[in-house]
Amino acid sequence: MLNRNFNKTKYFSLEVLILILIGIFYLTLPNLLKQSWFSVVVWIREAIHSGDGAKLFLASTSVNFTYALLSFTTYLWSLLLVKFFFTNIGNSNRRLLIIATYLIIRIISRYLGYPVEVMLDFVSMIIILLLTKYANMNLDRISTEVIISLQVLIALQWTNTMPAMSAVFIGQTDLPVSIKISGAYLDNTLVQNMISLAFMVPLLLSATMTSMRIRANKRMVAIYEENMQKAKELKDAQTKIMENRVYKEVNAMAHDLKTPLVTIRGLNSMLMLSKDMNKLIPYSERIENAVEKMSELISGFLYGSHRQKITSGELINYVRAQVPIDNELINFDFTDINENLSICGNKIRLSRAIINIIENAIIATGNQDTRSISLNCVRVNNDIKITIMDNGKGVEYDKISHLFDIGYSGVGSTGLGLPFAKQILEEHDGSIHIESELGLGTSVIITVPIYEE
Amino acid sequence: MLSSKDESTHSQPTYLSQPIASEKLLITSAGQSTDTYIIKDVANDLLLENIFIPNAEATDLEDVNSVVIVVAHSQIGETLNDMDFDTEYLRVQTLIEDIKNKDLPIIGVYIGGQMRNNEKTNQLLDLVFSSSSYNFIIGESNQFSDNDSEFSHVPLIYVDDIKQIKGPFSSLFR
Repeated sequence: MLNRNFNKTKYFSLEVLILILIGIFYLTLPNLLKQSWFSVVVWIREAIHSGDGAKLFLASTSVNFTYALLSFTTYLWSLLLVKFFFTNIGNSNRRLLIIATYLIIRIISRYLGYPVEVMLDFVSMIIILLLTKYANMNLDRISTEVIISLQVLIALQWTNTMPAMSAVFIGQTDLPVSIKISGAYLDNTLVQNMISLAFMVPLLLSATMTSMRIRANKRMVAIYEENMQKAKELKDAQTKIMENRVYKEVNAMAHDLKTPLVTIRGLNSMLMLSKDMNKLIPYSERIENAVEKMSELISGFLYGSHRQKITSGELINYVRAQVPIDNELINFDFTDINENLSICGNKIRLSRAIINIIENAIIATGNQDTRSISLNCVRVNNDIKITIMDNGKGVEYDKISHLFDIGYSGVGSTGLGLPFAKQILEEHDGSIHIESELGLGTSVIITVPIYEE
Repeated sequence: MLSSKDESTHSQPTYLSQPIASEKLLITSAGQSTDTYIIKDVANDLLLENIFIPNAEATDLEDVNSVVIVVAHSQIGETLNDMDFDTEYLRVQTLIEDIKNKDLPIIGVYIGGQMRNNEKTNQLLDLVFSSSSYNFIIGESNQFSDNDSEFSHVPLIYVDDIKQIKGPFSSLFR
C-alpha cells in the first residue's frame, strides 16, 4: 500500500515536471525564435528591394514553421495536462477539454505578445478533433496523437501566408501580413497561394490518411483479439474433449486389462483346486502369458514409442474386440483379411487409430437404411494396406483435406479421431488418405510398412 | 486637388492634377513595418530623390522638402530596432511637431488595409493621418471613408491595388 502510494507520487511528480518543462519551453520560445523572425523581416526587405519572390517563400517557410512550433507546443501541453490529470472523464469531454485549454492558453499568449492566429487555431482544433474522433483515439498513445496534430498544425500554418485566406481572418499577425503585402506588391499573390496549397494539401491528406490508418489498425487489432479469444476458447474446448478421450482410453485399457486378469484368476483357482501336479507347468505358462499381455497393454498405453512385432491378424482381432460388431443394425464385414503380415508397431495405438476410423464410419452411416462397414487388409508391395469402407453420406471433395484438421468433423464427431489416427500412422512411417463420394460413402485407406526380420 | 469628399471610387487609382509636395522627400516609418520598404522601392523606381530613414528624427529633416510617413505597427520591427511602441509613438509625435515647425508637407501612407487593423496601428494612424497634408491609402480601408473620422479634413487618395501605386504616388510630387 505504502509502495503503491510512493509510486503514484513518483509518477505524479514526473507528470508535473514534464508539464513544467514544456511550459518553460513555451515561455522561452519567443526569445528563441526572435532571431528567426528578424531574419524574416530582413528577407522581406530584400524581396521588396530585389523583387525576388524566393525570399518571400523563404520568409513564409520560416514563419509557418515557427508558428507551428508555438501551436504544437501549446497543443502538446494541453494534451498531456488532460491525459495526466483528467483520467476519470469521458473521451469526448477530454477532447473538448484539450481544445478549451489550448484556446485559453493561446488567447492569454496573444495578450502576452505572442503571434497568435485565433481563427486558425480554432480551425486547427476542429480538424484535429475530427481526425482523432474518426480514428477512435482515446489518448492512450501520445505518439499517434503527436503525429496527427503535428501534420495538421504544420499544414494549416501555411494558410497564414496564403493571401486568399485573408478574407476569413487568417494570417492577421505581423509577419504573415507583411509577407502578403510584399507579395502583392511584387505581383506574387498567385504564387503564394499555390505554394501554400502545395504544402498544405499533402500534409492534410497525410494527416487524414494517418487517421484512417489508425482507425483500420484499431479495427484489425480488435478483430485479432476477438479471433485470439475464439481460438483460446476453441483450444480450451479441444483440451476438454481430449481429456474426455484420455478418460475413455483409460476406461478401454482398464477393460482390456480385465481379460488377462480374469484368465490369471481362473488359472489360479484351477491351480488351487488341481491335485494333478502335471498341470502346474501349463497353468503357470498360461498365467505368464496373461501377465505378458497385460504388460504389453500397459507399455503400449504408457509409451507411444513402444514397439513390438505383431501380425496383421493380431491387430485386426484386437480391433474387432473393441468395436460393436454384434450390432444388428450395422453389417460389419471383416472377411478379406491377410492375417500373416508382420508389423513392428504399438498395437494399442495402431488399433486405436483404426477404431477411430471405424467409429467415424459408424456415425457416418447413421442415417442409412442399410448400414454397412467393411474392413480389408492386404499386402501392397512392402506395405500393409488396410481399407475401411462405409456406405455413409460421404464427404464433399473440397472438405476432405480439412478432415485432418483438429476440431473439424464431417460427421458431427469431436473432430479429433482422424488427426489422432494420422499422427499415429506417421509415427509408424505409414500414411492415411480418404476417398469419398457424396451419397455413396467413404473409404479410408491406411498403409503401414511390413516388418521384415 | 481632391478632397476626402470628392476622391475617386476604390476601383480606379487617383491621380492629382498638380503636385502637392516636392523632392527631396524623407521616407520614414510609423510602427517600423516592412511596408515602409515598399514605398522606398516605389520612390526609387520613380527616381524620386529621397532619403530613407525608418526611425527618422528632427535632425534628419535638414535638406528635405517633404516627408512620407508609412504607418503600420510591427512588433517584430520595433524589437529589431530596439524600441517599444511608446518610444515609437513618441518619436513619431515629436517628428510631426518638428515637421510642422518647418512647414513641410506630410504624406501619410497606409498599405495594410483590414489586415493591419489593430489598436496600435490605429493609434499611429490617428496621429499621422490627422496631421498630414495628404493621405495615401492602399487596399481595403473602409474606416477612412467615414466623414466623421478625425482626419476626414485631410485630402485622400485611394488605390485599391498595390501594383497600381506608382502613378498616383508620382503625381504627388510631379
